[in-house]
Amino acid sequence: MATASTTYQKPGGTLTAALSDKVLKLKDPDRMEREDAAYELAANPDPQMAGELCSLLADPDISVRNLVAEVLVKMGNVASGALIQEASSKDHDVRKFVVDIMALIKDQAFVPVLIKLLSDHNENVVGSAAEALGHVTSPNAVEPLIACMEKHPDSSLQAIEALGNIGSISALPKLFELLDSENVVLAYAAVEAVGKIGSAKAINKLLELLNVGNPELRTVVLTTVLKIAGTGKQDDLYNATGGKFIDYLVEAAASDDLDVKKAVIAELAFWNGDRVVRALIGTLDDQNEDVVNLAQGALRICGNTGLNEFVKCLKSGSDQTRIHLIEISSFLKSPELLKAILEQANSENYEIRSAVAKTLTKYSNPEAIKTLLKLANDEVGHVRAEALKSLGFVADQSEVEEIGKHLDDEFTDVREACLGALILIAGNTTINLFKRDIENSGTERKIMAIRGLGWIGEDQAIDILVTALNHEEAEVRRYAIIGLAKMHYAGLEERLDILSADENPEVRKAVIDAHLALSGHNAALNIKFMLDDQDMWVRFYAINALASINDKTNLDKLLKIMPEQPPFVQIAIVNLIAGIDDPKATAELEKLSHNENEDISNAAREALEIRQF
Amino acid sequence: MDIQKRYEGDIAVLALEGRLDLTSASTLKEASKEALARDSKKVILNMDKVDFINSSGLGALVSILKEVRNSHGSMRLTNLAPYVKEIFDITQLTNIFEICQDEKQAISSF
Repeated sequence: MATASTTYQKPGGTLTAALSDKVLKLKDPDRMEREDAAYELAANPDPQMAGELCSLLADPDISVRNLVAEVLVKMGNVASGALIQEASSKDHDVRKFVVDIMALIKDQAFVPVLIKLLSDHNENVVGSAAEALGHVTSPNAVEPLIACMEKHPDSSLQAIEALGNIGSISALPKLFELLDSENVVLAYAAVEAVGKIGSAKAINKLLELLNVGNPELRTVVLTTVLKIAGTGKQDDLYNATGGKFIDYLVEAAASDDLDVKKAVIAELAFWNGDRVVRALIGTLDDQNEDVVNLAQGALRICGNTGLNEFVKCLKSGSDQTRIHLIEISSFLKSPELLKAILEQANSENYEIRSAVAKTLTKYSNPEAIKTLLKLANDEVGHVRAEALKSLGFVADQSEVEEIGKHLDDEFTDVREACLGALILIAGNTTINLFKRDIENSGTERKIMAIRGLGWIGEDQAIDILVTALNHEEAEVRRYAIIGLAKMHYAGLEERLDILSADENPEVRKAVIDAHLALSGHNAALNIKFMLDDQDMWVRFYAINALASINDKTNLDKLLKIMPEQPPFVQIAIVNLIAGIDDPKATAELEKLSHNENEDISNAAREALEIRQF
Repeated sequence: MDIQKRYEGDIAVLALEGRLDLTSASTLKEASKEALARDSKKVILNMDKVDFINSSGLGALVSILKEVRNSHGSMRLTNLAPYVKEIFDITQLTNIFEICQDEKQAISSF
């Protein structure tokens, strides 16, 4: 490459090289010029330029040295030859700089040079060379790094880290030796290096360390052990440790150290057998919520491998443990387990009975259903409610009559759970039960029946609801309208005209809701007639319904009825016409802004302000 | 009922539109079976445009959930209208299904 060049004088006045202008630009006082030059050099990597750049590594200006280093790193392998040559610089600062750049380029060609620099007379260069070998990662560097630790103890930390990064098992004997080091920093580094190498062979040695007194080191060791466990095959790990690893995990699950306990529980999830399950169950009594949640999660994963232990603890564990086990059991599903759960339905503790009722949602089994029906008659309302909720998922038509009895329960929660269950079971038996209730039961049960039929929504249910529109009890008529409107029953619309004249205002309000449900924004025409209703609350309801669909078509009607309305209805009208862009509306609002009733005048003024805005 | 299907990686998103009742229940079950057969073990049912649901529709949802769980998968419901939420509350389905605000939340919850 032909480029213009200028001589460059190193500090001290020694003329050493003729440098291209392009390279010298890196020393330009203008920052933009320097950056442009750096960009161009990096974008067109050239070995000759790299050589020239290396000569600037001794520049007295640190910003120049850093910029040069940056360009050389970006040049990558193209700069390798120049860097190898510069590694023998007489200036130890340059040698160190070169080594640091080599660490970032990571060219295998650097390995012999870096190994040689492990014997450098300058300690900083040795440390950097050791660190760089950890980045270039060649197995050839293992022995030299170990030897380096003997000759240069100050660089041991970098050497240990490098051995970890290289990841060769040939480094393990030396690292094991260092695990017992009195220098805690080196021992930590050795543990982490062993963890990076990740051999199951290291586990035994690390497990020994767990018995030493230093609790901080123990946590690092444990993290390392679990890291190796997470990357290795379990069989290898088990064989390599002769089963000691699992012994340790089981023991550590009861540790007082919260972090240790949590880490161990997470690991145990991936192991099998009664001992593992027993150890995990043992943590379900823990005071710490995270520990309990982790243990529950772990048992969901591995619980099946220790069902004997699971069943045993269900019979003999503490109440809290049993409740957790019952909750987890629905994820495991085994006949023995189900039997043990069903036995817990006789517990004296209602929370346990409630947990049983809840978990049986997932068992469509005759024995489970029988137990749920029994729990639906429990002395505690909460248990009855839970049992009924579960029955909704597992029971069928044959249990409808039995379940239906609970529609008379003294507690609302139980009655609602019962209604929910019947809606889910649905079918002819349920529909007939509801029909009978409408004919013969008290008002509350009639309403529940109407609500239930509204949600079942099949043809037979619709027929009953349509008949209920003529029921003598107003509440029944009201809920029948709501139910039919919800399912968008087309035949309802023609009945609404008659129902809008119902004697009961609540029924008439339901008619307004039905118009909204059936016609949406087109309901205004029908709702308009309700503005003449004799009951002011129905009129109020109709005005708000029109507001909810942002109706603008009934201005004349609203202005006409306005004077006869009580103040609160007038305010509702003001709010509605505030959104109608019509001079008549404005005039009326202006008039009302002087109304003697302060609430009306304020509402009108506010409406006018909003319109202006 | 109209069902729009799309797949995002191993997640099947079924957007339902119309009435979820006895007639449409089988269509929905078929659609979810198809998703499971494609190895999509994560299923999202977007209920935004469901304007009616009854006990047959609820039964279909429960049956799909069971099927998904038997296939070791998981399912989320999203965009429940207040009307649908009401029946979910009455029947306690809110405790059985994992319900998310929208598809984005559902996708990130897997």
